[in-house]
Amino acid sequence: MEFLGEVFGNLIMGFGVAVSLENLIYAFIGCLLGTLVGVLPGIGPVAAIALLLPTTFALPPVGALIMLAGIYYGAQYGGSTTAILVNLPGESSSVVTCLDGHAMAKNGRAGHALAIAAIGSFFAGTVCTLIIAVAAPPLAEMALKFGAPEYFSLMVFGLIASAVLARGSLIKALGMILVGLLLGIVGTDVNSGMSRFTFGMPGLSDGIGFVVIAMAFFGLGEIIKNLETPDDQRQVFTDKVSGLMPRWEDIRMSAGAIVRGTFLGAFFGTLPGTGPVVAAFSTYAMEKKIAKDSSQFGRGDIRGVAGPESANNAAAQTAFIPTLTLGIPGSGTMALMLGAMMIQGIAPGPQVMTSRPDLFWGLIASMWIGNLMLVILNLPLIGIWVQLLKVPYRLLFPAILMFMCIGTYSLNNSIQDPLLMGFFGVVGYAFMKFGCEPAPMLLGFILGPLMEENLRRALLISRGDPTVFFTRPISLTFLVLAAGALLVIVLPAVRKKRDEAFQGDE
Amino acid sequence: MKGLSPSTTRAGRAWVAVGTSFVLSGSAAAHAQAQAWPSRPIRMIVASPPAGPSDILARLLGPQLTLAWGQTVLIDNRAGANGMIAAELTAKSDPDGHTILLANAGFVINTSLYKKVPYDPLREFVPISLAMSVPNILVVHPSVPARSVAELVAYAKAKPGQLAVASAGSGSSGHLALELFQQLSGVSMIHVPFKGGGPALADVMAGQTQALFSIAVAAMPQIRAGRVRALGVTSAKRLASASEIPTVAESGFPNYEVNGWFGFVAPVKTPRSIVARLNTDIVRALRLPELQDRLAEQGAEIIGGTPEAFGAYLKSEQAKWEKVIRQAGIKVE
Repeated sequence: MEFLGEVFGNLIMGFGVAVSLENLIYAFIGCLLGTLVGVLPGIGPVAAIALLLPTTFALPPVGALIMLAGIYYGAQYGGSTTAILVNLPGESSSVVTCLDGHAMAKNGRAGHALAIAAIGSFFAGTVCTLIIAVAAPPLAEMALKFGAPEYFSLMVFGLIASAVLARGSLIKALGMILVGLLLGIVGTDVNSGMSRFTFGMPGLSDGIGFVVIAMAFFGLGEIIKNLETPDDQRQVFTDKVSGLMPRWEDIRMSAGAIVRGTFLGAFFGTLPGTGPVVAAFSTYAMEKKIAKDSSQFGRGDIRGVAGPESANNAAAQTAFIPTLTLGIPGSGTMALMLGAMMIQGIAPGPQVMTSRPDLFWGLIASMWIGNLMLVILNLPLIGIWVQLLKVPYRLLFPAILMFMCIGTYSLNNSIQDPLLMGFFGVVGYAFMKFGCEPAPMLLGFILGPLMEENLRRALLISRGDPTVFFTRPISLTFLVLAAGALLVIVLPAVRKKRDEAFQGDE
Repeated sequence: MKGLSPSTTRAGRAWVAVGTSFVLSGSAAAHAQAQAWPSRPIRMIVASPPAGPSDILARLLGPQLTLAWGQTVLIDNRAGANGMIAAELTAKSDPDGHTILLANAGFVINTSLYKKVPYDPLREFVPISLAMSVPNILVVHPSVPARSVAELVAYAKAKPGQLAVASAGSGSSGHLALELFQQLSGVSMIHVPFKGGGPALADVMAGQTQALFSIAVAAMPQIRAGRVRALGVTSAKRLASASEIPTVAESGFPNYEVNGWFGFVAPVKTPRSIVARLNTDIVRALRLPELQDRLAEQGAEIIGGTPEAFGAYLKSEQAKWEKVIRQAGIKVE
């Protein structure tokens, strides 16, 4: 009780800091900018925060961090908008939202999808604010328990579970996972320092960017496919949009997915190196697996939007846990946040909580306020976004292409990334024609390199002893889960009972 | 939104680039430009991503230099390939004093690490000034019984090839610090590379790996919190901000010295008069007390020196690491 009282006291103090007019304005600017960069495909929070970093020199530390954090989680809200409306992940973590979100838009339910994404994100944001307030230090300790063997086993589990992402043939899905793994190993090998498949291009030595691949396979491939049909026959969306606010039935259906997504997302966010994308993928896979009737997944099931959107926002929020409590950045964006602290003269580390409680608790409180602002900002915007669908495609797609090029260019200030996107866009279109879906490939692309890195690191540390994966309890748990998942997936396939509805054209 | 000078934004940069191409196509020889320097914004290419270690230095210096030169200093982050992308880009830029590179230690080490290096650090660049020296600190997980460098050597000798030492990556400053340490002490440990210093430090904090040569700025808060134990600093002198930590050199390895560093260079054909001006103003900015304080907190030592001194340093660093790398048999292709 005493502990909760203390947390409560701290939260009150944090809100005291966060609701000052000045900090409310910073939070609002951050959320607004975040929504904007989230909506714009390819332009992500990393570029936006980097861009604004110099301006934060002049701001007080708390205000600066509140604004930068707002950009980060604001982008998670905005990212779903583009995913749903034009099948283009506005943010890398909203890749999964494309699957069902865009299908819903095609069914004329764009408004419902956008609303449920905002509501799920807000719920996740609220829960995660509480989680951080109550349990940040112990969660950070838990994250530290994850060494190389644990990460490897977790990735094995994730990769096997991802097979359910496939809608069409299982063989094609496995093939796409392999393609993803192969693309993922491009670049400098962490363990040996050797370059792999870089063809002597220095720009490839750090690997192919996830944003580049995601933009190419989802965005560009989709655009080429749409252009295939003549102008007068093309119907990207239905004109009739049935209501903007979700129906009671939608909320009831999504509630479970939102709650599960929130907790799964919170888990992955806490682990350095995984984050919102993995969280969204895992939640989607789980929702599809546990749904009584999963036949609508991929065709506009609202749970396929609600779960992943809650998960990516939850993960975005809990990513602050190792960053704030230990000073260990879990992702590129978090490294930027730490850089912003250093520029402000605050040494990030375990002391921040005690030496700058105003900053720690103020930032946490501002996250909840920011989430509230975002949901207020986003719900009325839905009407405007849906109007966007009425823009003729011949005007819409060049604009999208332009933003995609700006976005990918901004990743490294290099022309190579837009070019790569172009190349993989054509590849993605070919895959689409062959009925090979990009989602399993993207997961292989993310998990493959992590898996390899941690497998080799685990064996390096154990001096080549593979039992290390079975003797450590967390690692063993994930391997057992992986074996279970494998059975669940393989058995129906063997019995040829794999849902035939999945064999649909699309 | 005060402080948002339009030309430090990316959009601003694009406009500047448009302006730049006009200036170039319309202007006469570099000689004429030399007299009018600076005639347009200065592009400071930084070999790290935003908020990376050299980026922070660049962003602290930028406004001061903008003030001194009356032209905006644009920070252009070109991370990747161990700084080779940034260096190659600089080498190919117009040598008119409007493009400078904030190089780091990898600048001269890459030539020994990689088979193909797209630039020559000594022939294609003219040194301006060394800016800052960032030593590493050898830290261990608290469960490691060693309380000094000597004890660590003894501990590692008792368990040859069993102590796992993390690093920020193959060819990183921490990796090279480890190699030199092994060569001088004669112990052998397992090198466990990570993708960056943050994950490596986290792994040592968790006790998954036992030791790490970490950059001081990242390690200090963890040392103060008792999550890792500091055994020695890799610089020749103790750190001003943490003088209780002995140097590795004074702990029995007098020849041991490893410093990460950041310094400014320009394309080799940059007129010497401009280099001198760049040097004067950069050194003056580096000596500003507010900057010194900010960076000293991070365990960095500010060094502003002559171009000649920096040139000599670049040469000696290149030679030193070439030897260590050859002996260790590190090859990063």
